[in-house]
Formats: sequence, structure tokens, C-alpha cells
Amino acid sequence: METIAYRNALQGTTSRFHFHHVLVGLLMCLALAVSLFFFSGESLRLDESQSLWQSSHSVSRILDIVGQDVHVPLYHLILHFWQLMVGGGVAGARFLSLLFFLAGIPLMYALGMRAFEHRAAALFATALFALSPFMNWYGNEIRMYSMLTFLALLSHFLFLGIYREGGGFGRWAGYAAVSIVGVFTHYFFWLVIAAQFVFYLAVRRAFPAGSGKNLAGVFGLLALAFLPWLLYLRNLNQLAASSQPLLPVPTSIDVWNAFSQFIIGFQNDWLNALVVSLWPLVVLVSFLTLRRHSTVPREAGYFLAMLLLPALALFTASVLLKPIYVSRYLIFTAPALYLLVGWVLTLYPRFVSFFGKAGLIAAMAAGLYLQVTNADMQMRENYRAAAEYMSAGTAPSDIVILSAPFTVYPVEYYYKGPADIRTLPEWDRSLRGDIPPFNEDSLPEDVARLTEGHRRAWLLLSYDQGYEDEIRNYFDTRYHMLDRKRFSEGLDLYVYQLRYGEAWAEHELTALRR
Amino acid sequence: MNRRAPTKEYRELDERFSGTVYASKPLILASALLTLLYFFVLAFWFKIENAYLFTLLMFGQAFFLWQGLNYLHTIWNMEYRAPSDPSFAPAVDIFITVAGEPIDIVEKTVRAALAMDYPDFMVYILNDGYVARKENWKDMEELAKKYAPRVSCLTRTVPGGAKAGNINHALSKTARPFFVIFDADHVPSPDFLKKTMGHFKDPRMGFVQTPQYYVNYAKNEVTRGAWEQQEIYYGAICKGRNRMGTVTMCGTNMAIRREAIMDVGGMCDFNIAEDFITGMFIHERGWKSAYVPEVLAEGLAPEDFLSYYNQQLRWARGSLEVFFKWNPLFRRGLSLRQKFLYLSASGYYLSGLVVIVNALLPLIFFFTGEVPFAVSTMALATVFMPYLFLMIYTLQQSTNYAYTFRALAFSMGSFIIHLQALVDLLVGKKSSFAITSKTRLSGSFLNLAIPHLIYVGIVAAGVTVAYLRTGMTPSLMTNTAWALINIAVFAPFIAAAVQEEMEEERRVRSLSVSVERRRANFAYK
Repeated sequence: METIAYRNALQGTTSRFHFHHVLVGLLMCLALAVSLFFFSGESLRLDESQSLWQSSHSVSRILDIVGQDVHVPLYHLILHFWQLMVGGGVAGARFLSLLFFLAGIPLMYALGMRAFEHRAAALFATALFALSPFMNWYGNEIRMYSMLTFLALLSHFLFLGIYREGGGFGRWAGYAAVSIVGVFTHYFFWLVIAAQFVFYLAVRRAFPAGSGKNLAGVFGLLALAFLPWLLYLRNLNQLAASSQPLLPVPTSIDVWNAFSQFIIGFQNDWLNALVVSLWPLVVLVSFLTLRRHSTVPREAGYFLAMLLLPALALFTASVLLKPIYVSRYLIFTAPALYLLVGWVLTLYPRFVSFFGKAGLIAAMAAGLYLQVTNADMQMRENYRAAAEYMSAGTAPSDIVILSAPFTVYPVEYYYKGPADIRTLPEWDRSLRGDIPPFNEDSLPEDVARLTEGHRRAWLLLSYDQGYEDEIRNYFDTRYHMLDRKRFSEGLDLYVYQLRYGEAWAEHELTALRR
Repeated sequence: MNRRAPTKEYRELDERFSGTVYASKPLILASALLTLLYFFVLAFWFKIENAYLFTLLMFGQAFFLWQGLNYLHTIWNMEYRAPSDPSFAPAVDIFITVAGEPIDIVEKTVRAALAMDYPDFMVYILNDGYVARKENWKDMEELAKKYAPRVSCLTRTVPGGAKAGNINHALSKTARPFFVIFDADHVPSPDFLKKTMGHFKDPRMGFVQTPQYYVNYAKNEVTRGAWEQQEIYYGAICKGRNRMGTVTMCGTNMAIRREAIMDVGGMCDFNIAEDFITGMFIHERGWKSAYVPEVLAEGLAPEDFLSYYNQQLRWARGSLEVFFKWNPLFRRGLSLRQKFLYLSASGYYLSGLVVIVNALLPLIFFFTGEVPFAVSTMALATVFMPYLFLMIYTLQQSTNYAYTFRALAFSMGSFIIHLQALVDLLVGKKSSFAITSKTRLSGSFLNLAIPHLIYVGIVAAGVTVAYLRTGMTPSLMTNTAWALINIAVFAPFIAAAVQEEMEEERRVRSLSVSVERRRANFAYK
């Protein structure tokens, strides 16, 4: 096998510093600039507001809250202490995610080099990673996804290091540590480990001697480290939480959408459908890989497993057990896609490779541009605008009703109006347990209780959990609608007159006219 | 070893043919499973939108299923080698078939044949130059005299049977119990006989075939395309068929037991794929066959597009004749496995129909809006992609990563040749045996790619029509993507023709003279 040094010599570069490193640095600067100029102005989204709310409590309370949620607590704990250091604002919290994203860029390059020993492939994959609208989106979101991706990259780097060069104590210890940190960052980090295990089983003879025992040791350590959390959840009686948005059972379209989002980000349905419909071109991509002596390195198999197995596992679980297929849960597989694409393009004739790369970069750049400029983009949740609108228009005699109930987090963050905020179904976050389920039979009673004594209801509907139409129909058929407004895709406000007999206050009329 | 210079290319070639190439059995099984799954999902799961288009599509898919499963079955074990006794060295006649090839090419082959390391053999130049009305037919007799007495020239004066007739004529003039056939341009290595004759220790061994290697494969796009198509055949397919006792006779670089060929009445001279059908007849009579996966002779690939076209047309016509006139399924004497293998081999050239069907489906959508299925295109992708990827990977692994896009493109781009062969056969057009030219022919060959260029034009018009009718829709995008794939696959075929055209223009300009456009005419009776 050719050594890296030999390959470097072939490529005419033996020095430690290379122009490619400058390019990697420039990609980091680009990602930072995109964040500052485009993403910093985004409204807080539901998930982000949950993170802020959850991490704003004490450590023990964070464990308690996150335990009732569908996540593991490490990110929230880190965010908690991070906010103690940098302050509790949105920008500071988002910067934590950005740091993981930025740190992932050079790591991506190092991983590409380690896997394929090919600078052009590594650099191109890194460019895809840095330019990806999907990565940029979650690299600027107050959630654990950029941290999860960073840890997955680190895990790949260490695992492939063990596979290719053997693992000393340091490398195995690092791999074990990253694995433990990973599974406490997101439950689906277990899928990274599972895919690595499948890879090990498939090519175990190619691993250095003793790797099996060491791997078993890491798994044992991992199980020991995770067991206390499972016991804690058992004590909370929260092994299956339901305070999260209801997800639909995925179809084949969702599977492909995840991959298309990895490339072009979040676009409107029309554009996304058009892009995904070009899937037969993947057939051409595969035909073009048919090149003499273009063997498939095991590392490509590794990344293929890392790309497909988690998606397959999530899809199967979603169909058979409970819907959990969301593209962001698979974010840790996106680098595998970029690396595979980077490698595949090196197999092509130079001319085809150049146009393939240029086309892909152009598609990503266009996707990024559309994603940050399109106000109707599906992932954009403009709770800030909705809350500001209500803050300016509501009176003390009004009531703000939110459905789905968990959308209280972002609205509450921005809302400064005089009217009370309630949810439908009614939910008290201070109480342990799930969000109460919607009951159509008790809807009249629930609405009567919420609206009692109020003149107007500001009904803000988003994150349809399957009962949004029932609620809206109920209000539409009983009350006079005064106003309606859409703030972003799926975020709609309806203002209803609950009772008459009192003169409109001037400021109320002004607000309604506005 | 002195038979070949130890260049990198040769090392790779040796490794590819002689080395242990294996496709993992779980991979083959998974690939077969997904192939079946894909077919049955398509056939029974999706809702049919247009029954006619559905039938057309399923015809193509059934062809792929048949050929795909047959390939997977073939490559299941490629390591079998027929027993051989190196000490077995019977007397052999060496036949070098000639029909007007340049004298220097023939002499090279004669000299190499004489240099073979073997105790008892005689070289015959089977000269058909006279009956083919070639000017240099007398040169062959002079050549034989030059190397006499170990070389003799057998010149035919009565035409008939083309190459097979030439061989049969030679068989009537010679008597050794075994003979070897080399085309005029196929230069044998010194150990050819040592590597092949040992297999005849088995008294039921009818013939031994070796690969047909093109030494000039890197010369241009046509030679590359021709060779890369051959490589999968002489690699994975022949090795697999060796295991099943159904090696296909390929007409050159082969050793034959005289008794076996006489048992079937000599070389078959009523089919232009005389080698293929003769091999089948020999198998019918219960004779065995063996394949030696080593490059033991070096030939020349067609260097120009017209020669390639004619070669493919001859092979396609001959094979399709076997399929329709001597269908292996109904031949007595063949084992069931042999029947299916011969059926698959002879039916391969029906692929022209399948390619044209697949190419037409997007066009039909563009102009009419009709599609075979009423199904989410992503659902189709979900069953199609795993099947395709796994099949491609299996193909690559089983060929030791030798199969190329160019080989695929030449195979698919040749659809027009296959269709022409089919139509000629169905209308009963008389076929003639056209020897593949051993030198580069000049002329304009762009006309051979006109159907492909017309397709590009129709796609452009179709996309416009569909866009004006429906606007930018996912269905339009998907069908455009399929059409683009067809165009991309036709591109190397078109490029090879265009390259010929451009090179010809350059030659004309550089000579500054009017060059009479010549067409090859090696047809002889």
C-alpha cells in the first residue's frame, strides 16, 4: 500500500503546509461570514427556544427536563455553562453551535485525507461541508446538531486511524471518550457506533490484531457510562417521552428529501421536488464511475455504511415502531455523503470531474443563497415577527392561544404584550409529564375556559399536530374573525372577536388596521 | 518468460485474466435478490398508468432480469480450471486464416507460430485471397515458400462458406489429430500449445479456447471501446462458463480435436457466426470444452469505426440467427444448463430492442404525457438504486475492476447495429462474411451515428414541447434526466464516429489532394 508520504511525493508536496490548508481556512472564514451576515438575524425557532429554556435551569433541573424530552443532556449542560460565560442571548448561544461547525471544517479535511489520501477529494468534500446550506443552517441553530456532527467526524477520524494505522492507547482512549461524549450528545450517535461495528464485522481481518478486544472494551465502557442515564430515565418513568412534535410516518420521498437537503438545503416544495426528480442522474453518476482499475477502497464502503445504515435504521423504526425520521437526526451522515461524492469525482476523467465539481458547488451555493433569502422557506419559523405583532396589538382583556402547546417556548421568548398566553390543549410546563392530548369532545369546554372573560382571542397556530383544522374550524364557526396573518410557512395568526358591547379602544383599532 | 515484454499493461492483463478474480458470494446473492425484488416490485406493486408502455418497459426489464441473473449465475465460481496434462503433446496443425490481410501482419503471425515451443506441429496459411479476389493472394504462397518446409500454403480456388469453408478446405488437406486456428493478425505466444494441448488428454475434450486480446487497444477510442467490451467476456464470463462446460468457441486462438469437428460435419458454414454455432454443435454431441484464461495470442482490434461496426453487425447477426433459427432451448444433446447459457449468449444482441425501448419512453412522455406507472418517482428510485448500485459493484468486482463506462457506452450505443442485424434477419436479408479489417480504413463514419444524433435532436424538441404543455414539473425533470442518461451513454459512440470524421478531414487537408473515399469491402463468398 502506498504511504501517505509517497502519495504526497507523487503529488509534489512534501511540506507540512500546503495551499490547501489556506483554502480550508478560507472556507472557515466563508462559513463565519455567512453566519454573521445571514443567519444571525434569524428568528428564534421552536427547537432553539426549547434549548434556551431547558438550559436556563439548574443542572439537576436540566437533567430532569431533558430526561422528559427525547434527548440526552450533554449539549444542554454545555449550553448552560456556556451561557453563564458569554451571557444568555440568542447570538451567544448560536455561536456555540457555530464553533462546532467551524471546527468541523478542518476536521473534515483531515478525515478526507486520512480516508482517501487524496487532497483534491478531501478538499472538495470539505468545500461541500462548508458550503452546505444544511450544515450552515444547523451550524447556526441552538441545538446539538453541529456538535453531533463534529463528534461524528472525530469518531470517524479516530476509528479510521485505528483501522489504517493501528491504535495505540491514546487513539483507543480518544475513540472511547468521543463515543461516550457522542452518545450523551444525541441518542443517534449510537447509530455511528453501530455502523462502525458493522464495518468492523465486514472487514475485521483488515484491522490490526487485537482490535476486536479493544473494540469490545470500548463498547463495555460505553455501556457502563450510559447505564446511569438509563436508570435515571427509568426513575423518571420517561423512557418514551411524548412532549415533542408529532412526526408523520415517512415515505420514500422523505428518504430522498433528506439526501437532497444535504446538498441543496431547505427549499420550497416545488423546487425541492424538481431537484429530487432528477434522481436518475445518479444512475449516470454511477455509470461514470466505471473506470479501469477504479477499485472501491474500504473507506468508501465505510462511508457508504455510515450514510445508508442510519437512514435505513431510522426509516425502518419509523415505519415499524414510531415515526422518528427527520433529516436533522441524520445530520451526522451528511459528511459521509460529501466524502463519497468527493471520492467518486476523483474517479472521473478530468474534464467530467471538473464539471461535476463545478456543478455541485454551484448547486450548493445557489441552495444556500435561496435558503437564506427565501422568506417562505419551510424551516423558517418567524415567531419573532408573530410575537412582536401580538405584543403591539393585544390588550389586557385579550387572550393569546397557542397551538401546538410546545410553541409557547419561542413565542414566550419574544412576546412582550399585556395579554395572557395560554395553550390549547392546556399545558403547564412546570408539571412533570407529557403534554395533554387533544380531545375534540372537550374542545368547547376547553375553549370556553380559556376565553372566559376575554374580548378577543389571538389564535397562533403552528406545528400542526393533527388537530389544527379542528381548532380553527371551531373558532371560525363560532366567532367573528377580525384579522389573519401568515408570518412564515405554517405559522398563522387568527384574531377573533369573542364578545361585543364595549367600544374599541383607539390603540386596538390602530393595531388591527396595521 | 520471454513471450511478452513485461510492461505494466501486460502485468495488469496477466493479473486480470490469470489471477484469481472472485466475486463474493454474499454479494452475488444480494445482487440477485435485489434484481428479483426490483423486477417484481415493478411488475406487481406499482399502479399501471398506460398498459402499452408498461408492457414495453417490462419487456426491457425482463431482458435485464434474464441477462442479469444469467451473469450472476455465471460468475458464481470463476476459479474452475479443467484438468490438464502438460506432458500430453500430440501432433498439431496450425491454421492461419488469411483473406487479403497485409503480408507483414501475416508474416508476423507465421513467425510467431513457428517459434512456438512444441515438439510436433505444422503451420498452414489458409489462403482465401484468391476467392476473395485480393491482389496479394500470391504473396501468401511466396511467404509459405520462404518458411518451407514447416509452413505450407493452402490456397482455395473454389469459394464458399467464407472462413468456415476455408477451414473445412484445410481439414480436407491435412491429417493431424488436432488443429489450432489463428486469425491472420493473432500472434501466438511461444507457450500457446503447451498451455492448451494438455487438456486434450481427456479423450472427450472437443476444443480449448483462449482469450482474444487486442494488442492495439490503446490506439484510439474505437480500439479501446472494442477491447473493453471484450475484456468482460474473456474475463468473468468465459471463466464462469468454463465451470459449466459451456465455453463459447470464438473462432481464433483455439485448439480443436479433429474428431470432434468431423463429428459435427466440419465448421458450420451456413452461419456468419460460424465459431459460435460450431461450438454449440460440438457440445450437442457431448464433447467437452475448456477455457485457458491466459493471454496466449495477441490480435488487433478494429481501428476504425466502420470495421468495428461491421464486426459487431456480423456477431449480432450470427448470434441472432442462432437464437431464432437454431434456438438452443430446442437443441437435443445440450444439457439444460448449456441450453440456457447458449440461449442467453445468443439472445444478448436483443439488447438493441431494449435500449431503443428505454430511449423511447422519455420521448413518449415528452410528446404525449403518457407514462407506464402512476407512482411516485421516488418510490421507483428507492427500489431501483440499490439494485443498480449493487449490480454495478458486483460487475466491477467480478471483472477485477476492468469494466468501463466506455464499454457500457459502446454496448448500448451499438443498439442500432443490433437492431439492423435483427431487422436483416427478420426480413431475410442475405448476410455476408465481412472480415474485420486489420488496418485502419479511411472514410466518413459520422453517418453511422446519425440515429444517435437524431435522438439528441428529438429529445431537445420533446423537452420543449413538454415544457410548453405542462411547465416545469417533476415528471418532466425525471424524464429529461432519463433522456440525458441515454444521450450521455451514446456520447462516446458519437464521439468515436466524430473523431473518425475529424481525423479524416485532417488527413484530407494535409494531403491537399482529393481523396477518394474508400469503403472497406472484405466481403467474400
